[in-house]
Amino acid sequence: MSNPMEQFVIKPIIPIKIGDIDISFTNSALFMVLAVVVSTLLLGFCIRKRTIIPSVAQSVPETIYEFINSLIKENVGTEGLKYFPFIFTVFLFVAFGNMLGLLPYAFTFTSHLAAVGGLSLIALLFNVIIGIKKKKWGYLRTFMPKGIPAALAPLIIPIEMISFLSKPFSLTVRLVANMTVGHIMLKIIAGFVLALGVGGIIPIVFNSGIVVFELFIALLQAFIYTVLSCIYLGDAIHSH
Amino acid sequence: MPQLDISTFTSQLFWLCVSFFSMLFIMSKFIIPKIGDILAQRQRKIDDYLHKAHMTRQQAEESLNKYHQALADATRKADETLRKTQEELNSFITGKQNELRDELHRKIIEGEAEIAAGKAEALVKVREMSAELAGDIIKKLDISVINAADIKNAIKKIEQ
Repeated sequence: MSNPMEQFVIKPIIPIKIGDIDISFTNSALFMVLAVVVSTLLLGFCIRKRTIIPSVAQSVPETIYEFINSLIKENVGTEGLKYFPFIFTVFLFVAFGNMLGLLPYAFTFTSHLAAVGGLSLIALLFNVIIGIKKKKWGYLRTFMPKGIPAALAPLIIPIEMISFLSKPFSLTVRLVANMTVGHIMLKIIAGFVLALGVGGIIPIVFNSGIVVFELFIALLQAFIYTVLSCIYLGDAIHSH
Repeated sequence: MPQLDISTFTSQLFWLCVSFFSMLFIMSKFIIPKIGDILAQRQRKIDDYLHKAHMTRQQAEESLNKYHQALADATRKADETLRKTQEELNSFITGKQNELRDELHRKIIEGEAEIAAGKAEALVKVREMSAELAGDIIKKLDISVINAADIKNAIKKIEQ
């Protein structure tokens, strides 16, 4: 039986190095690019006709659009709608990263700390930039909410800073853990198929069920990731 | 765990930035405006239809108002005509009744006068006849003490 962690190994496809920095095009990079290409082509294909009464295909991007739209309106407010493309892209990027990873022989870049953590950091920086643009120095209030006595500052500021930094951390760990565990489980059960011979039909059936479940998890985690990003964005704009 | 292999981090982060920001660019330039356009168009269409429906409804309401107005006018006219006819009929009936009453009144007076005349005549005759009768009776009884003048006085006393 092969090592279930083997599927997460990053292998360079085209080694590239700039100075000492390694930016090789790896299987992870390939699937990131694939997520971009596939989502663009799929959405572009679905909305190619632009009919007033949507076909089944066209209603999918419309539903995603309206879902993200209502998500932002609820969590950030109408003023948050100018950040719509960002949230929309985050959702699709994560959703397609998760779902493409479920294909056989595929690589799941959302199961890697660096990739998801990077995305969370981009979202965090995005929030910070918006917050500073909107509130200037008042953004520092994030770490020292109004109405708290100055004497408590040495206690409150570290706590608020930890909570501030824990947001992208929890986002990252949640998504990575979900993806990693799901794929390990699939791999282990798939390993039983050959080992059991004719009885291998049982793990095959079981695995089919799990794949459907993982597809659900893939969408659910993309959803959670997006909702929480939205809530953090709302915090950055309205906080305290 | 391959996830903790730090040597792959730079490449992952580099390609993450490349793919994510190119996706952000593609989505915000091409895909999102198109979807937004479809939805806006649909919204316009819906608004248009709603507007049309609203206009039609207004027209219908106007027609209904006109109908009600016409109905009210007709009802008022009919009422007026009815009232006039009633008045005419009433005055005609009252006139006829008055005429009849006068006529009857006149006839009653005439009749009463005739009756009174007949009664007076009859009384005169009764007086004469009773005087004659009394005279005849006295003559037959052969009473000479009572003459005709006494009888007449006695009759007058009885009458009184």
